[in-house]
This record gives sequence, C-alpha cells and structure tokens, in this order.
Amino acid sequence: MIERLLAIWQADTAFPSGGFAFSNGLEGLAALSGPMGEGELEGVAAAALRHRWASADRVALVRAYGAEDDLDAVEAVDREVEATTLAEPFRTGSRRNGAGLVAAHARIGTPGAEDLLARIRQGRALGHLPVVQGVVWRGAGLDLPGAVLASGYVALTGFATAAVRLGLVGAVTAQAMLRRLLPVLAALADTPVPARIGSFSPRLDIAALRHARGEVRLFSN
Amino acid sequence: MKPVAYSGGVGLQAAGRRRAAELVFARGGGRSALVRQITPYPFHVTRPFALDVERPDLATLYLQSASGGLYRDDDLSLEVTLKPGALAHVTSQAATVVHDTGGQPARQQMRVSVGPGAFAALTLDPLILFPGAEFIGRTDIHLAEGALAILADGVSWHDFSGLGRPFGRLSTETCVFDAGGNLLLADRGSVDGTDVVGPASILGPEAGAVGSVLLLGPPGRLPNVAAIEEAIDGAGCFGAAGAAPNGAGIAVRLIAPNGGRIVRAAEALFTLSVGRMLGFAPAHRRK
Repeated sequence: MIERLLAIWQADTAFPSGGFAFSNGLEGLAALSGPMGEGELEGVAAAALRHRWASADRVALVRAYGAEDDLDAVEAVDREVEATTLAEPFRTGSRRNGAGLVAAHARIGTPGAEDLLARIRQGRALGHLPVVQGVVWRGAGLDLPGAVLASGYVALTGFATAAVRLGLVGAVTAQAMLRRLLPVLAALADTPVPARIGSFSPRLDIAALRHARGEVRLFSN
Repeated sequence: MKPVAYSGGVGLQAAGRRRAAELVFARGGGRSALVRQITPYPFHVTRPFALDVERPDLATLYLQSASGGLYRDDDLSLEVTLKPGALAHVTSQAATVVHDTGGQPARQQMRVSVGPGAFAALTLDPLILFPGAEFIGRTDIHLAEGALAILADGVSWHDFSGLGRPFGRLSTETCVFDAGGNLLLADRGSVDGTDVVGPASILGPEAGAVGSVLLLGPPGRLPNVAAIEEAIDGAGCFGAAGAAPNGAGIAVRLIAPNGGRIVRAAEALFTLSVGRMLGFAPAHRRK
C-alpha cells in the first residue's frame, strides 16, 4: 500500500517541483491558434501523452529508474534526452523542472538525490525531469509502475492547470477533461516501453519556440 | 500508370528492392568534382552543375527516382561523402511517392559525411505518402571540423482514392554526429496516418505536410532565427526555429497545408543559409 501512497505524494501538485511555471507549449499554441475549445484542448493533451510522454519521457524515466545506483548510466540517459529534445524551450524547461525536483528531494534526504545533484552541479549530468524522476522516485521508494503513473499524471495535470490559468477552460471543465484522459494514460502506461527515446510533436514544438520569443508570457514555456 | 493500379498490387509485385547508391565529391581545380558515383536502379542522378557564377566550386546535382516511387519492402540507401573543402548541393527533381506498402514498410537510409571545411546541402522534396504507405527513414550526418550542412526533408500525404484512407505509418530518425563521433542531435519520431490525416489531426486541422530543416555549423555561420521565421512565414508555413541540441546549429520545424509550401520554405532557407555559410546568394534551382 505504501507504494501507492508514495506515487500519490509525488504526483501531487503541492510537491515543490517547479512545474507550475511551464505550460508545455500550450500558451504558445493558444496565442498562435486563437481560442481553443475544450475538445481541441483535450486532443492536444492526448497527443502530447501519446507522442511525447509515452515515447520519450516515460522511456527516459524507466531507463533512469532501472540504472539503479549506476549514475554513469543515468548520465547517458540524460544526454540522450538532451539530444532528442529538438525544441530548446522544452530542453530548458525539462532541466529546470528536474533541478527543482532533485533539489527538493536532496533537502528531504531521499537516497540518491544528493549524489545526482552533485553531478548536475559539476556539469556531468544535465538533470532532465524524467531522468531525475527515475532516480529520486526510486530512492523515495516508489515502485516502477507507480513512478510511471506519477510521471504521466504530472504531465497531464500540467496541461490541465496551465489551461485553467490561461483562461482556456474553467477549473471544473479541466477536471472533466482530466478524468476522460485518465484511461488514455492508464492504457499508455501499460504499453511496451520503446527501446529508444523519440517523439512526434511538431505543433507543440513550433508553438513553444515561437512563444519563447514572445514579449508577454505567463509561463516559461 | 494510375496510383490505383499501384495500390491494387501491380507495384507490390515489383517490391523488395535492396539498392545502395554512393556519391563522393572532392575538391580540385577550383571545382567540386563527383569523383565516385554508384547509382543502381532506381537511383538516377544528373551530372553535377555549377549553377552559381560567384561560386563555381559549388556543385549541384539532381537526384531522381527512375521507378515511380517507393514500394513494399524496398530498402534503398544513399551514401554521400564530401572530401575536405568540397561543396555540394544534392536536391531532388520532384517529390517521390511512397505507394501502399501492404504492411511491409519501405525503407530509405542516407549517410552524409561532410569533411573538414566542406559544405553539404541535401534539400529533398517531401515524400508523398499514399493510402496504406508505411515508410521508415533514417539519415545520419557526420560533421568534421569546420564542416557546414543543410538538411531539408519532409512528407505530405495524398488520398487519391477519396475514401478517407490515410497512409499507414511514418517513422523517421535523423542523427547528427560531431568530428569525434559524439551524438549531437537525434530527431526520432513515429506517427500513424490516422493521427495526422483529417480534421482531428494532431498537427492542426489544415495540415497536409510536415517538414524539418537542420542548419548545421557554428553560430557565426548561421542565419538568425528572426530571419528564418520571416522566411517561413513568407512561404506560407506554420513553423519556428531554435537552437539545436549540443550546439549543432539551428533546428526548424514546419507544418503546411501541402508539400509545395514545405518546398518553398526549404528553398528560402537554403538561400538564406548559403548567404551566411558561403557568403553569396545562390541561383534558383530549377525543377
């Protein structure tokens, strides 16, 4: 039972991981595409789950989790995340979120967090979010299925909370969307993990890249 | 032959080709000469042209498919090598069709090795994915010290049957390596036709083509992002540019209603980038 509680703890938006500052390209997309209805928003979030989270973030998390105490192997995953994330705002955002998460866990005393933080400070590791999640959530006692679900849930709620803060939908509507997408997330979490990191999200990449140079922004990406 | 004839099996019978082509350019006598050429069927190339009065050392070569496209289980590879200081632009004469592959994907691999101080541009018209087409593409670019490169590619899709049948699956991977063999960039992605064709497309309701352009080299030899995005807008594409990972250069994403606009954007970015990389305005490449 404790594994489930630990996954809920880490998926909780109250945990200080810094993710509130990122819209995952949604702000840029809304600015470029105009008003976005509930259906379109749900489609964008579902596509991001299918074509980025499941095929990229989840893969990096699972591999970092499986590296156990081998931080050289963790660094290799980190470098692959860097090389495969073409859109600069997503690379920057992933590193910032990862830095926030590992710093919080280092303060809590989660096993493995201090060592990873030291490597990031030395410049040996980059600290991308899914890599940090894999390391510190293993150290915190989450089992792998719980870590995968927590990661997907964090990604999904990131879209929902960004949509509310951007005024695209109301809070209750966002929760209804979230509920409809939970089975999508559950099904994706059960699919075989690809051997390599990949993604297909050119629309969000473009939105995030254009948005990064915008003068008026609510979110970092 | 009409597309429906290919999709009905005629093309499938001529499937499963394994062919490897090779082109090597070397600098000599103020020119970039094609010193080695292996182009088995269905590859076909023109002779190299010197289209630019200002830089006759830039060779331009048109690559064509002599077979009407890619078919089930095809496995075609192309290796392009630029010796030190050679300058070459390899482009396509027109778009290549990927026919219904009947569940056995067509594969295309390219390896581009750009020597010290050399310049390579590969600007290929977007592939046209027909209903049922499955395509797996991989491109590796190896950059030596001081090398410069432009890679432009993409895909569009066309349902000639009008029956709402999308292409099958698209999987692409582009990797860029530095002089030490270190991976700088790996752009990998896969998508089913059902995800991108139609009003619920994950690329947006108007999308009919998607493409990417990589401008590879040190920052001082690359156009600025604002100029790139102005060119993208001028070509009628939805797109953006940004710094590629590990200092590889600039990565550009493009979405457009059709492949023609991807071609226009690629041509505009080629012109812009050659201006920064080689210091002149290239002549229009006629097709």
